Amino acid sequence: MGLFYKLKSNISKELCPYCFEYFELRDAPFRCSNPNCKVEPDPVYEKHWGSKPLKHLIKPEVSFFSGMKKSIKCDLCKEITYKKVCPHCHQTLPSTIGEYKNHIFAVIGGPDSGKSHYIAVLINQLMNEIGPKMGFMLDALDDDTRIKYRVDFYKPLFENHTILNKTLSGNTNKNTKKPLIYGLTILKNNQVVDYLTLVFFDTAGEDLNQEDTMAVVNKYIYRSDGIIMLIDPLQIVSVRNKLKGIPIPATISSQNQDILSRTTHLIKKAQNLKPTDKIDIPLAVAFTKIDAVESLLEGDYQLKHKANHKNNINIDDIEAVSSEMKALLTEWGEGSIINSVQTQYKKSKFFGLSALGTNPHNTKRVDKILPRRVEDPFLWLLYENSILK
Amino acid sequence: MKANQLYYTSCEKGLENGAGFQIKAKSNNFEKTDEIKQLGNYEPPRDYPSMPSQKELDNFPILFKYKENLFARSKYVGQDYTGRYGNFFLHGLEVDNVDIYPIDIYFWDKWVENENQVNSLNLPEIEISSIEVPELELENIEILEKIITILFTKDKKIIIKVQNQIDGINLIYFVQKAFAKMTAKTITFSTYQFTEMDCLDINIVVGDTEFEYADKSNYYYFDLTTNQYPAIQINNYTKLVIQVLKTPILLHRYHKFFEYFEVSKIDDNLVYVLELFLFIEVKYKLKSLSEILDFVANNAKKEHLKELLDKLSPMIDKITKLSDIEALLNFYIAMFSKDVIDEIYKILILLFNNTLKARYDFVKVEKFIEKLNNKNSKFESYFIPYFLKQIELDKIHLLNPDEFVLVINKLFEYYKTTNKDNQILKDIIIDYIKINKTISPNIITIFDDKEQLKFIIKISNILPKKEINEISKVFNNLYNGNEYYHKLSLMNRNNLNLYFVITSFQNKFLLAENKVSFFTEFIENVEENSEIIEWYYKNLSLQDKIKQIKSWKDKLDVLENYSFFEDIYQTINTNLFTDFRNDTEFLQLYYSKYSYIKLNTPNRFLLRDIIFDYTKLNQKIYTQINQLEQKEYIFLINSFFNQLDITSIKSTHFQYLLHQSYQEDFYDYFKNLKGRLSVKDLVKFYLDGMGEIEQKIEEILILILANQSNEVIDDLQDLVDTESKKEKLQNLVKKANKKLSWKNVSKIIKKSFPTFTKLFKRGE
Repeated sequence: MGLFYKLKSNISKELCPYCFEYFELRDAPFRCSNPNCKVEPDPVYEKHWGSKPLKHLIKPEVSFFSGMKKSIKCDLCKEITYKKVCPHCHQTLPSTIGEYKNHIFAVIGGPDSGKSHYIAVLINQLMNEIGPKMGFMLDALDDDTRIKYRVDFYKPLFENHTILNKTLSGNTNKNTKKPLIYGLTILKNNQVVDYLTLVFFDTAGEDLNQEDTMAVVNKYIYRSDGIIMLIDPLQIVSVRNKLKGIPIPATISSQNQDILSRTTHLIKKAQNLKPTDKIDIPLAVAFTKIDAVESLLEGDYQLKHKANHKNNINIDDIEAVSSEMKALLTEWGEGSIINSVQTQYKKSKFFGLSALGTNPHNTKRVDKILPRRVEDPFLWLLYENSILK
Repeated sequence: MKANQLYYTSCEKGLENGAGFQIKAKSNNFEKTDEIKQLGNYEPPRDYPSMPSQKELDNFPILFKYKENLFARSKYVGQDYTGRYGNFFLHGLEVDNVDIYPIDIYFWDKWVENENQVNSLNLPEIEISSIEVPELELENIEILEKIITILFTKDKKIIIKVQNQIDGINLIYFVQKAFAKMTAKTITFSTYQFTEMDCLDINIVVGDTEFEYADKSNYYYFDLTTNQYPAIQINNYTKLVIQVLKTPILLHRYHKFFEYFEVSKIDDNLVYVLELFLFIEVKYKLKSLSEILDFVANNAKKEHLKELLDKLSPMIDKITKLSDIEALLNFYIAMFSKDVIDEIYKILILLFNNTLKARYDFVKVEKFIEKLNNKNSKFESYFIPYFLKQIELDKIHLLNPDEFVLVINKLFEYYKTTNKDNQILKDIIIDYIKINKTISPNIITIFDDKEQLKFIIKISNILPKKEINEISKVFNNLYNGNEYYHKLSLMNRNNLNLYFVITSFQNKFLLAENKVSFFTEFIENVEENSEIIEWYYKNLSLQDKIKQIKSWKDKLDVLENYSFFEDIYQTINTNLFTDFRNDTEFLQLYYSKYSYIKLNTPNRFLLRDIIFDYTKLNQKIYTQINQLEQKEYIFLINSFFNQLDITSIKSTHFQYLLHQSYQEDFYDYFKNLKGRLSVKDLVKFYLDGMGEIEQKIEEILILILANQSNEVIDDLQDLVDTESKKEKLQNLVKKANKKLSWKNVSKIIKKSFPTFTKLFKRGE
């Protein structure tokens, strides 16, 4: 281990992608990975995540001069383990922690705004379509992510062609609080030029209903590197009125402005910002299910076209779509959202997308998934984080 | 059991902000809202229909979880108000105290299953009682045993994967019933568990859940779909309780029985309750009653103690192991109250009767009684009458002496306090002594002063001397100093029995003269009682016996007036031989002038032996005899020579006679001698040398030998130990062989022994 790395591990603090507490890497305990090692209670883990049988925890001896250990020998079974856990919540950390920067992206939105579907399709797109096209690779960093994505997202949607079940509240289901963690490898001419860790959070809309709940359940929001706020246009009154005769959800949710407002308050409070200060977390406001409102888009909208991101992000396209969406919002009587966003956030863009490309409202089936522009907000966030150019 | 209620589902409008999953309705006092939401969180099995029909919805597993005071029942309802799937309806209950088997509540018929059943957002507190549980079959016993055993350690969570949820519910049902309510309620369970997070003690898994990907070594994983179960060593409790589970009536009684105890957790102590229950109900053979009773003493509920003891009481007779009986007694002592006094009596008798069978140490019984006296000072006095009724008196003689005295002592004390006639106790003592020929010296302490003496007199006849001495030691030790006994003796002069007993027991204090003087008084007043005299004589020291004999000598005239005089002498005959053979003083007494005449007349054999029988004393005897006057000596010989039959003594006597050369008396002596010595004796004297009269003797011997058979002659060879004796004998035999005629013999005799001739004429 190099001196630099040693010094870095002594002075730099990492953010746990689970509990969002900062910690020094060298303080991170290890969890034995030997299946035959002792299972023991872990009150710290239990407090944060609920009880679960866990293997023995090994705490490294730490001194100022000791750097971060990459592995440790279990003091019970004597097997080597590489599994580091967060000193605060004892959740297993991504193996790349400390070596590559974490980029946390939050996907928020009211209930039924399409967050889960968006994440499901976005990851699939990044892995299979956008990634190869733009020269990056997305890989699940742990089994939990791999299984969760496959079982909860991919299988029902892409294999069974059914819409995803409602996301359960992080308050009642601790699994909801666990992010999907991916490694993003940036390639140039088939050579790895950068690597970073992406953390995606799916949130139950209900958990954004109260600021207090958000502060507890969704701490990641104010620690994130980018926020994608999804808005279901079918929940906008004027849009619903215009779409009469088309199958749309029978109930109306008018929580978008509230959620934005709560999110803003939460971030400002957590980052200790004055009311007049602007938040520097890039905010992508994305209107989902855009295919359902296509009939309302009269004329040649850039939004109707496929995005043209090749090798690099097409920022002009992003700008164009954002302008279109703002105009549509104004038209739909939701101009206040634009004002709120632009007043409170330094960087923001408006997007229109469709995760499924079809309206499954009646059948609840998605026979063919035809995503539209799902990658735009994400790519823009990468761009704003200087990951993409 | 009263419960606050809560409904939670994904709905458009409920009690929380906005739409979506939220509390739909609840009782005002429902407190643990977050906990119930987490407990009742429902995720459907992944392999179940993702868009189920109404009919299919009924096949989804029901989530029923119990933890602490919360019951969560969630039913998958499919779509929510938006039409999205993944919705469920949770009906939660919060109770103050769980007083029903938690699994029974699964079968409650008031569960609300969907939003349509909700009429109000404010739910009333509800009473849960009389739940009708369908009859379930006890099955999967092998799995049941393992699960019950695991619950004693709870080191890992139990996951039971089943094809049909009812199989899992059935298992939970019987697992819970294997315990009493208060312990069953410590077992948390879930009839459907999707996630690895927050597993409860027992978790049923149906379909494709997170457990498909879980590390199963982290759990006790029972897969009923593939019949794969962990290996578990079944514990004792489980082995027993399975038998109880198989018998519903017994199970019901077991649950009732358990209510007697303050037990709230599942641990090894439970086996004590179960074993005790089985012991009472089906006479189960216990391994260690003491441990069980320790447990009972520490854990029985006070309010149920009487019922418990009532159940235990009939079992006392069934206990055979002494350690168990002890344990039971200790238990009752710990529980000491009037409610258990009969049981305590019963057990004490049991232990005592075991003592009688020589199986139990009586000292322990004594210690128990001590303990009980500490609990209640009157215990013993209450116990004794019971004891007297119950004890196997016919076996009391089986007690060892110390035990016997302890028992008798207690009985005496009781009789004394109740002023009852204790004659029966005295009879018991006498019987005991008669049978055992021994008794603890401490027996004396039972009696008061006067009783002590009387008692010793009484038992002196039946107890060996050694035992009496031991008793007398104790008796002496009770008092300090001579004065008391002098006083006592003087005070009791009219009571001769008492008087001499005092004398005898005070021999270590009183001078011999005193004793003798006491006895002299006794002789003057005593009634005929040779038995007492014999006993008295036995208890004198050797020196005192001599002195007593001297005293008697002086009182012979008086003594001869009593018919028991002979008895005294017979007694002395029997004992002197052993006691006085080495006693010079006694010998002196005998050989004092004239004394022997009266003294020894009834004791000729003794005297004979003293004088003649002991080589060691020979010299003394010679000394004594030498001092005798000739007449005394002749009298002595005449008196006792008939019994002389020991050659060496005869020989000694001949030597003496020859040495003294009492020639003038020789013929008298020889006259008495004839026919009393064998041919062999006579020849021996001759061979040893007869001095001046040898020639005359030889003549007589020739005549005698001439009439003897060859065998007699041959037998004489034994006397030859020197060459000179050999020659002398050969000559003698030779002469005898000349066969002198009777006439010649007569002549010789006439010539040498005129007196002898006369005798012959008389035909003697």
